[in-house]
Amino acid sequence: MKKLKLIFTVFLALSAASVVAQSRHFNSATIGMGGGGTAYVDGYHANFINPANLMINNTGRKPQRTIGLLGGLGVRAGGTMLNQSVYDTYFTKGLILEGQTRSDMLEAWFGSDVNNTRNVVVGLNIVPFGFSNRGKNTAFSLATRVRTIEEFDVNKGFMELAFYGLDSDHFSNPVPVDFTNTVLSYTEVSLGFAMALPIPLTGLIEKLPFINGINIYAGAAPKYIVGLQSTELDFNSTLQITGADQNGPGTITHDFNYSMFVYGDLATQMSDYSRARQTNDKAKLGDYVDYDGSDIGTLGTGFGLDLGVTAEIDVSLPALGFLGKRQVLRVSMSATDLGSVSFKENPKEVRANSVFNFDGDIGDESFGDYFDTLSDSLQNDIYGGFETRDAPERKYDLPGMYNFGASLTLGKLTATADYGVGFNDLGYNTKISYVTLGAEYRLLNFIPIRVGTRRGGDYSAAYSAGLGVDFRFLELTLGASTVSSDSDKGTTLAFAWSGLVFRF
Amino acid sequence: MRNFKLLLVWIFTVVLVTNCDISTPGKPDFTTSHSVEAPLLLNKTLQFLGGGEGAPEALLDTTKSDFDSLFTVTEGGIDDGLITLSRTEEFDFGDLNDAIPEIGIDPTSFNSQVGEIEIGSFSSGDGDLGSVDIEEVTGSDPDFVPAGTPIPSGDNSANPVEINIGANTDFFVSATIKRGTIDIQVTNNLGFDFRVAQVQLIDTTTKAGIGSFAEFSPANGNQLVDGAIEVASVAFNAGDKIQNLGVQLTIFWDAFTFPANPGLLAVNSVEGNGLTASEVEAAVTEQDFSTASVTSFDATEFQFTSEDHFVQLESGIIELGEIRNSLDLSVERLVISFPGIRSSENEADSLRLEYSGDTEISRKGSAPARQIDLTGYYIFANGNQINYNIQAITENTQNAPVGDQTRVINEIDSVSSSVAINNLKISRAFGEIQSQTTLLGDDDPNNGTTTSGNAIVDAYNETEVSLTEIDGLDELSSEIDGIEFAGASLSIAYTSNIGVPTTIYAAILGVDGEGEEIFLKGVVGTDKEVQATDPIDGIYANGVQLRADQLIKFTLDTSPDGSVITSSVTFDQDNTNVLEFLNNLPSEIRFVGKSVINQSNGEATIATPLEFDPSILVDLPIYFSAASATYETTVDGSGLDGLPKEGDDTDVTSGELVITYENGLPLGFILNFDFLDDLGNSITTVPLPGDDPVQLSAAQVDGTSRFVTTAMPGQLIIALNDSQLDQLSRTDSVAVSATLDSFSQEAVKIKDTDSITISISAKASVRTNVGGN
Repeated sequence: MKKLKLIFTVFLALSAASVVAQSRHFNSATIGMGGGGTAYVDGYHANFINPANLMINNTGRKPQRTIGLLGGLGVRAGGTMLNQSVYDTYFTKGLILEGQTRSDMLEAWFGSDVNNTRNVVVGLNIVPFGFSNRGKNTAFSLATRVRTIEEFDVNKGFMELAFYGLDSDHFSNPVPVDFTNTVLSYTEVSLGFAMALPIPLTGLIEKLPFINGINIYAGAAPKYIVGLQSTELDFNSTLQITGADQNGPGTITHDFNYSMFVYGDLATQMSDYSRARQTNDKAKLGDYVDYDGSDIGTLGTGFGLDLGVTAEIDVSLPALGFLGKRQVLRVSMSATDLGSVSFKENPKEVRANSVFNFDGDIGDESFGDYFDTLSDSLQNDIYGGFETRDAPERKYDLPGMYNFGASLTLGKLTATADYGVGFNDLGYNTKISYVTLGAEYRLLNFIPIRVGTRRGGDYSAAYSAGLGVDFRFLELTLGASTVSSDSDKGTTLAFAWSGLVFRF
Repeated sequence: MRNFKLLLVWIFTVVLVTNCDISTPGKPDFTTSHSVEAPLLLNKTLQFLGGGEGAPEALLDTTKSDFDSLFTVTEGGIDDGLITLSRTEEFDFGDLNDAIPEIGIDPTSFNSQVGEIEIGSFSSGDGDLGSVDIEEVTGSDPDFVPAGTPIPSGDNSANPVEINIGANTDFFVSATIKRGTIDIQVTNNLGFDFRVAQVQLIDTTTKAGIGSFAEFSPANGNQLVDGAIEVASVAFNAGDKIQNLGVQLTIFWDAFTFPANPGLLAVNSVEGNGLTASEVEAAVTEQDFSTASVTSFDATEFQFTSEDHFVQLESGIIELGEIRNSLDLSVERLVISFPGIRSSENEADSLRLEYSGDTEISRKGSAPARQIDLTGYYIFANGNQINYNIQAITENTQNAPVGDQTRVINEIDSVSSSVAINNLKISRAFGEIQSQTTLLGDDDPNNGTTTSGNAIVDAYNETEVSLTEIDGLDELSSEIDGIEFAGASLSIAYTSNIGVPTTIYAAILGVDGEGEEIFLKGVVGTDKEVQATDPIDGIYANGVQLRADQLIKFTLDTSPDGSVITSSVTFDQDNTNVLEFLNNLPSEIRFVGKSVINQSNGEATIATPLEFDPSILVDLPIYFSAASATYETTVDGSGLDGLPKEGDDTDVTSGELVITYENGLPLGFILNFDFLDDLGNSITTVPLPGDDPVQLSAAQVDGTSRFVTTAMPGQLIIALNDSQLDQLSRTDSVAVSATLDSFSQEAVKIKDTDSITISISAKASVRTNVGGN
């Protein structure tokens, strides 16, 4: 039970840190339309995509105030390890994954270099509360968001171990077996403000063809960030197995090192354990580490800022007039997630550098006793034989992005196009540019049907769709996206729910 | 127009979707193939014997309860380090005091009667009892008849003279005569000769004659001539009563001349002659009478055949019954003495019981019963008899007040009582002790007795048996067969204070883990051999009388002085079948028996407590030979039910255990495993027929010491193929059999430090199917 509790605690610590960082905030509307929304998302969600949009009413039918209770939930999971092409080729055809087939499978999955890595990223986006008020010239909002992102990277050697087992033929020479795991979780409290900017050339613009009028909005949403939890584990090792021969029963050699950053109570507990081991080699990890998460919310703080500007243009496109009389073009750009969060509550770095060499030499112990205690020994003496040391506060940049987008609303139909590029490579964020395309048709004006796609970035092309009901005073919509099979970039699945959104 | 717009939306949607490269993941269907290859042990040295914290790991961990104190290791000498399986079990037989002979004494009574009363003199004085002068006899007064006057013959029958002698018989009153005579002495000084004189005793009161008359006559040779003193005897009939005694004389004379100075005719004395009375009334002086009596021992178990034979009593009581005195005389002193019962071995210390003074026995009275504790007394009873004497002295009634002086004493008056010697318990005895048989240990009365009346002891009666359990051999003995031990012995060590030759007849039954029985028996012609004529009746096993050739006997050393001695009896291969007995690897040894003490019935000393505290010692040196000995056991295989079976998603396609060894034990084996299902049917075997044997070779031993000199290296592989592994999940049990061979199949010795070093690696291939059909 103790062990189970420990495992649960670690899992909690890791997953609790996992609410964040898709590159761009998404809700059920944007996920259904390919993930854009820079020039489309309004209401309190605009705080996180483009605060200038606090001033817009993308359907033209929404009341000026919006409140969301559990006002949005989205989850995205994917990564290069989720390779549908490999899956379809090797895991659906009844193949026995051995010999050349196994070698080919791993080659297709990870490439030829044993050091190649693949990852799985899980992101969670929750907006527990949001409120926005749209005035004639100004708007403001208050929104909270919990973001968690967890990324798990493994190298090819890791997966070879999974598919070969303890095979002395394959691991006769040292093979790197590495993995990393990063978890970051924080809560943002965002206060948004937007206003209509004065239009300098009033009257002149309206004289331009197809343009009936223009409004330009600017918005900013500073936010206070509370670090919930974070860990970073970087595990590197080599594994070598020699088989039995006349000289002995063989050996398993695992030369490893790892480091992990932990904070708060968890850091204290692991530090206590590390110190205890210096004087008591029988100290057990489970006796010291019993993290209950009570320090969540006290581990770190930070500040962030989302900025945006939107030009809302009333257009008349006669050729498309049949789609509706209301024709609005919005062009926006924003910079989101500018800032960082620092985990500074008792930061510790856990480090271990050791070699687990198992050759059957059990010393003076009896065979039964040795193997009875082997798991404890591995946990406490081998892999748990770490040292801790104080670490400087750990600062994580937010997954900042530059976003540019446009939307064109023609009656009940809205089409969007977005461009995005990340300022860093955290989680889903990528410095590789990508574009999204999306469309929404509001059937009967209250049933939004949404489709979209995303291209570029660090992942394969994504396709998405959404559906729901969106009345003037209430919204309840869903959105989902998937990434097509890509032998290099894997696949991604995402899902979002609008939550309960009321307007008045 | 409205429909047209909607159509456009749908066209856009369809185009968008159909251009999407959205593929649905297929159903998983693949099989992984893993190898698991791991070293399990590297050069692990297992010492044959050892264990405990800090000690090398051992094949036989002597710190475990099964083996605790089971092994000893020889220190020094040519067998230094030799392991011996030793087991000592103390038997608690209690004492053998049942072998102390028991003696019983019949209670006896004594009755010291006065008996016939003999009457002698009727006078206590010296003078004549009475006399008459010549005138009274003849009627002639000398004062008037001159001397020389012729007196014609005549007699006085018409007027016989009477002499009253009663006044001169002191305290005599009367007597009832049973027989005998009274001699009357008469002196004739009358001056003439009596031709005949007839004497008749008479009751002077009634004038009746008492008894027959007597006659002084020439014919009787007692003629009372002048100056003669003669005696005549008066005979009585039984029952004649003498009282108021007088003498009547009838005199016949011939003519004579009247004497000048006639004297007297005097009755000098009246004496009883063989005169006995059944009752006398008289004033009697002290009367001393005594009686001797004897009581006998039961001679069944002990005989006093010499004056110096004795028993010393641990306890015992003399019970002297109420003493009844029917005499009309007080018994002023009564002494009952037992010359053979002494407080020490000295003859002078005999037991005496006295009644006198305050305890005197009143006339026609009694004295209360008495008990005398005999603890510590010695009884000398040559001929198995105890003598005792009763002596009594009565009061002197003549000193009694007047009027209470005369008493009637009847011949049947007596002083009587009874003597019983009870609860005799002997602490020491010297004499001819009859052979005693005593059971060793408790007797279960439910077993009954044999037709000969001997108690039965049964080797399988848990109340009676003394059990030695050798826990460590229990399982081993049921599984191993064919091991021949050398130099094994079984001995019985004991302490004893028995000074009497004692022989133990016993059933020593070894039972191995499978219930096979081997009796320890003596080699023919040795002193351990039991003959059919020996007293073995009643030694049973499972309700059946055991034969002589299923039993063993041994004699105990005797204690010279009753002190506790320590000794032992060893059963070795020269005098017993101990090798066969121990080769059976008995996990329990059952002992029942009986001791026969002083089987020759000779003179001996025996004393309590009879101590015999034996311990049985089993010494089984690990010095054995194994020539294709077998070891068979069945282990639970139900744990294998977790293994994948044919058709499961997971399939173990091969498994191999490689054991590399350096065997420092002089014992090798060939292993076979037979995997059995729940019906006992074979599923598969390891090795399969035709495969290489799973064999471990024995180390070489020195030709002389028989200890290991060179360890034997080798490798054995236990491998299972895919089809075998597919079936293993059905395993319910695994029959493991091994053929054991000592080096060259000859006798070898194992030291505690002999060891085997092994390395083990395991290798398995596992396929796991995911999805599919």
